[in-house]
Amino acid sequence: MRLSHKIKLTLSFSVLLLGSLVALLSYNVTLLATGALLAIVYSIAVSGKKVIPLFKASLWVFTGFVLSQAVFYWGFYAGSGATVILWLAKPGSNALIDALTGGKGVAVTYQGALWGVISSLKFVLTLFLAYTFSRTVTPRDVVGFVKRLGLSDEVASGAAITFRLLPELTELSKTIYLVSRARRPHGIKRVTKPFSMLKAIIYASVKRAYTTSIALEIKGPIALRSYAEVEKDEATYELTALLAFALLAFLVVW
Amino acid sequence: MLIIRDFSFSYDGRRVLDDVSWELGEGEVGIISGPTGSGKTSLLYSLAGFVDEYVNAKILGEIKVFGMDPREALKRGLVYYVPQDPSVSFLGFDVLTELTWKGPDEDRLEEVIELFNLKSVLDKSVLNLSGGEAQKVAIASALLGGYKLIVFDEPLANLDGKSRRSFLSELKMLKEKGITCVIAEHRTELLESYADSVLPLNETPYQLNLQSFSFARKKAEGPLFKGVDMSFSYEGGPPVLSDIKIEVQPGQVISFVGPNGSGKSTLAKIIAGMLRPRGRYQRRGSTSFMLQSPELQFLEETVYREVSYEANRDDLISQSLEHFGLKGKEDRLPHSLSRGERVRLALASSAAKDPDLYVLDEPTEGQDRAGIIAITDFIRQARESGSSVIVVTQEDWFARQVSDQAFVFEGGIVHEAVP
Repeated sequence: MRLSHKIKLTLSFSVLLLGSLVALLSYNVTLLATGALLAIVYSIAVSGKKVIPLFKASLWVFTGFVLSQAVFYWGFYAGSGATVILWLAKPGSNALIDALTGGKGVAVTYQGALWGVISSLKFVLTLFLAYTFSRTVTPRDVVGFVKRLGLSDEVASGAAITFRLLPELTELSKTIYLVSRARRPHGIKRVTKPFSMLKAIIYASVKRAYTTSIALEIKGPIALRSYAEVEKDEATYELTALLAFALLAFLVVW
Repeated sequence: MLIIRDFSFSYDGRRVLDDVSWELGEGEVGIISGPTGSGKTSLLYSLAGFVDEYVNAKILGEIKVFGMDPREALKRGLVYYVPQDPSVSFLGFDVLTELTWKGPDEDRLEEVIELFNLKSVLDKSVLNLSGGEAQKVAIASALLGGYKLIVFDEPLANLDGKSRRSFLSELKMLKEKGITCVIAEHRTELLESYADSVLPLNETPYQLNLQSFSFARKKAEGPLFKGVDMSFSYEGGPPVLSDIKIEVQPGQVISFVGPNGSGKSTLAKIIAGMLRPRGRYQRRGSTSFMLQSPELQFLEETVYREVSYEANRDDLISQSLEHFGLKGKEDRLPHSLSRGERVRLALASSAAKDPDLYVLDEPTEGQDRAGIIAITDFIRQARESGSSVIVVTQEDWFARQVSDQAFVFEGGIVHEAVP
C-alpha cells in the first residue's frame, strides 16, 4: 500500500510537471494533443467513470473555443493576412456588420481555427492535469514535500490551508449554484440571477475566509517539526530526484 | 479567572449588550443563555478576543480573562473558540493533521486519541465528519493545544440525541481537568446540571406578531412528489439512501427524523429538486426550500429583497416579514443576521412564495420559544391552505407537534411511522 502510494505520488508529480511545461510553452498541435490524450488516459486510469462529466465539459470547451476563434480571429481584423475558409458576411453585404467590423466582414479563418485548437488543447490539458493531481496527491503529501524543501512553517501553513479550503469552496459554490438553479424569481431577477449567484458565492467565500483567519489566529501556523513525526506517507527523496530527471528529459526532448 | 464588569457592546449602530456583569472561576462551566439575537455570540467574541480585530464594535466596560485583556489571552494561546459548526474552524485536512496542528508530544496524542475514541477517524477528511465527531475533534484539539479556556457557540445545535449525551460527558471531563468552559446556548435545560454559573441575557424574545397569511387555496390534484426504488450516493461515496419509497400528498406534513448523517437532508434535497437520485420519481407543483445552512441560499443583499426574491404578492411579503420578526430589519444584509434570524429569513422567503410544497431542513435550529411558536403556526397555516410541508429535524418533540407522518432514517434505510 505504502509503495503504491509512493509510485502514484511520483507519477503524479512528474505528469504535472511535464504536462504543465507542455501546456505553458508549446504551440505544437501534435505535442499538445498527445499531452492532452495522455492526461485524459491517466485520469481515466485513476478515477474511471468519474471523469465522464469533466470529459463532457472539455468537449464543450473545445467546440466553443474552436468555433469562436475560427469566426472571430483577432488576426483577421488586425490585417495580419488570415486565410478565409468560408465567408459568413462579405464586406459591403450589410451596413451594420461593416460598421462593427471596420468593413472587413465576418469569416471563418484557418488561422483562427488553428488558434482555437491550440488554446483549447492547452486548457483541456491543464484541466485534466489539475484534476488528476488533486485525485492522487493528498494535502499531507504537499506539506511533507514543503517540509523536505526546508521551507518555513508559515509557507507550509499556506499550502495546507489552500488545500484544505479549495474543495470546501468548490462544494460551497456548487451548493449555491444548485440553490440558484432551483429558485425561480420573477421578471428582471431572472436575467440578473447569475450575478446574484456570483455575489452569493463571494459573500460565502469571504465569510469562510473570516472564520479561517480566526482559526489561524487561535492555533498559529502548522508545526512541521512535530508533523514530520506523525506523518504516515511522507514525500520521498526519490521524488525530488525523479522531478529533476523528468525536467532534464523534457529539456532534452524539447 | 473571568471577570466582566459593566460591559456594553454596540454593533452596526445597535446596542446588543447593555451593562452586563459576570464572574467565573478557573475550571468552572459557565452558560450564557438568552433568546436568539440577545447578544450571546457578541459576548463570546468579546471573551475570545476577536473584537477590534474581527468585529467593528463599540464597547464599554471591562473584560478580564486570566487577569489580562482577552486579546492578550488569545495571543498567548490560552483561549480556544468552538463555533456552532466546529468543522469551519478546522485548518487540518484530516483529523490527524488537525489534532497535531500545534505539534503535541506523541504520548499526549495517543492518550487523547484513546480518550475520545478517535482512532477510526484519524484519516478521515475534516469535511466528512458528522456533527458529533467534529465536536469531539474540536475538544480533543483544544486539550492537545493546552488551551485553558474553551468558548462554545451553541454546541448542541447540530447534534443528534446520542451526540448531545456524548458532548455532556466530554464537558464533565473538561471540568475535571480544570479547563474553564463558557457555553452560549438558548436551550439550557440539558446543560444546567453541569453549570457553575448561568448568565441570562435579555430574556425578552422578539415581539411575536403572528399573522394570518393570505395563502392561496391549493387544489388537490394527486401527489406532489412520488418516488419508488430511489437510491443516492455522493460522488465516489457509499450509498446514502437505498430503495426509498415516498409519496407526498397535498396538505400533508411529513417529518424526517434520525441521527446525524442518516440521509435526511439528502432526501429533502432530492424532493426539492436539488439532487437527482437513481430510480423512478415524479414531481408536481412549485417547491420552496430552506437549507440547513440558510446563508448558502441567500441570493440578495437585503432582507427585503431576499424575502421578495421569488414572491409576487406584496401582502405575503409584508406578512412574512412581520410573522418571522424581521420587520425593521428589511435593509440589513442577510449574512449579518444572527443564526436564528437567518433561519427565520429563509422561512419568510419560503412563505412569501406560497408554494405547493415546502421543504424545511432543521427549521428550529437557533430558535427560542417565540421562534418555535411562529414556525409552528406558519406550518399549520401552510397546511390548511393545501400546501405540503416536509420538515427535517433532530427534535422528536417538534416532529410530534407539527407532523401527521414521520420517516425515521437509519443507515440509509427509511422506516415509516406515525409520530
